[in-house]
Amino acid sequence: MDSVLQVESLAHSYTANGKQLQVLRDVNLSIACSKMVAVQGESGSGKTTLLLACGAMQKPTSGKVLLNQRDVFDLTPAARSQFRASQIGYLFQTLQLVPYLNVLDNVRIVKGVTAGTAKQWLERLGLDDRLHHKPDALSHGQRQRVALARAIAHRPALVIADEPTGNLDGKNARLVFDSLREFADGGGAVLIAAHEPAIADFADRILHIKSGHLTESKAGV
Amino acid sequence: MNPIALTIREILHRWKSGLLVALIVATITGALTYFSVNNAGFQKEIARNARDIGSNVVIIPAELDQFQYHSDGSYSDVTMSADLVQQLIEYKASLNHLIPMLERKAECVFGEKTATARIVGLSASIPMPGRPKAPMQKSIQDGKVQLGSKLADKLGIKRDETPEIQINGEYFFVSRVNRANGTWQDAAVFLDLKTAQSLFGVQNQISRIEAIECTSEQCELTGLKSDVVLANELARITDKALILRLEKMAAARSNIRVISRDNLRLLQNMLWALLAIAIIALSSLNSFQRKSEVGVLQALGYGQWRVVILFVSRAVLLTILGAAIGIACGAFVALMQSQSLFRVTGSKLTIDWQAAIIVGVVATLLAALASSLPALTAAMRYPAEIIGKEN
Repeated sequence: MDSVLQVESLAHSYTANGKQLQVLRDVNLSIACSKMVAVQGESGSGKTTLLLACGAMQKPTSGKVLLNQRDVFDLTPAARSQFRASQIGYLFQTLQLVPYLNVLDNVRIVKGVTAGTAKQWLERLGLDDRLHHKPDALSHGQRQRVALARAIAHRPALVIADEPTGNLDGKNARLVFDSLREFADGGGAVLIAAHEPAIADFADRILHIKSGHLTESKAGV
Repeated sequence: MNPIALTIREILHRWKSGLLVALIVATITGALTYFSVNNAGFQKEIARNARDIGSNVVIIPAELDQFQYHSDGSYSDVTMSADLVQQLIEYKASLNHLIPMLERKAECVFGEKTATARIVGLSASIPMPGRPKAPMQKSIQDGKVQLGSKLADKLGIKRDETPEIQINGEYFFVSRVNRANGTWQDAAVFLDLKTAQSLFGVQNQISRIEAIECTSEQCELTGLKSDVVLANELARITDKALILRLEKMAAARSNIRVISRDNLRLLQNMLWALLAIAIIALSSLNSFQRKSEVGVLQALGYGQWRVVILFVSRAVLLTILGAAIGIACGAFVALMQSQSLFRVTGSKLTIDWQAAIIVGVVATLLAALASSLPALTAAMRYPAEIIGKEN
């Protein structure tokens, strides 16, 4: 089966307080379509760095990130921006909703998303009575679901979700996992960072990251 | 989503900060516009007051005995050809408001009372071509005279009276008794130059030409002092006249204009600097503060230029709004105030639309530039670098 995401020999380091810190070391990863892959690890283990590199949000020190066979860091900034918008849905850990747009428009802001599609996803995530509220009028959990809707509404090839269920109760966390599973079952690929044990019920594979090294605890099918 | 629609949503959402930006821009552009309109009035009023100090240059016949002339209180019977006026105009000498005069002493009779007075024939002030100015001296109607206040007292004529008096055997109506100004003019009679030439039988002759020097341009060009510039010019025109420069009056006139011009320029430059600093600070601050938004928009597929347009349009819209309010209010207040501040020239003031447009355009360009640079810089980086590392 062809890989949607192919990560080859990825490494990343940066300098802080005069010290060189190696965050990722020789990471190799492949996610095929219809697969949901979870990454777990302690805080500071490099999860977010891995997700940002896979989402073409941050250039790694070395290695390749291929999305649908294209090296995202070989593209020009303008082409990468277009490619990222069409192929990747990214759910930031800090959500990053646009504060001056209402819930519906925060989803519609993504290119190619109609009002109908946005509404459909928001209703699916239990936000049908919050469509015209601005983010500051929502609870954190509601904002997380809006960010999730924004990440998947345009049907990208890959959805990357960084701790999408932090601060959510069990019921809402399952709702989010369920939506991502449904997205994967529809042909998309999902890369998710999550601590919750419940992720095991949804993910095809669970990877662990420690000191920049990636290991696998639940092998995929 | 259209960047302009996004911008309007953002402005409405953060309406307090938008209003603050518009008000600051309005205050400064208003002050600049007020200053620009007010400055025009101030300059006109200074010029009018400096002009009313009086002539600071006198051209007299070269053959005149200057010792006698000064001993007699700037009076002499010696005359020169009135053609010199035309020669000065043709040469475009560094002078303006030329007033040719003929002076004689004669007996004035009103009823039983007589007095020997200086009779001054003069024409309306002649502007130099290319230097049009409101006349400094208006013409006196043919057949009428104006009396100095002390001469009127001596002849027993009151200020509101317009009787007929006799001068050198001819009769003239008194059109006005002038207010006292504390000089020899209080004891003189003024009438039209040609009338005076005819009265005293000296056709086309004049005693002197009074004028105001306009030497600043030539002084800058040649590096010479005013008196040298004027003497050189006159020497090229004729050897039958010489020039006297009333030094203190010329210096006072020049100082008033230079000091007021420099002071106004300083104030104007300060206001421009304030406008530039305020707009650059406000526009770039907004772009810096919303840097993470640049990253998010990029992550959502907004290209560099769409992101820049988003930030520039906000700065430009608010600056145009602020500048429009400021220019309108500044011009209105300045026009209203100028009526009371500048009683003579105030009513003639109009809004300098060119200056207003320059203020608006410069403010808008500064806003566009100041907001675009941080936004463009941010948009050229990877989204994660702008949004910040999360873990």
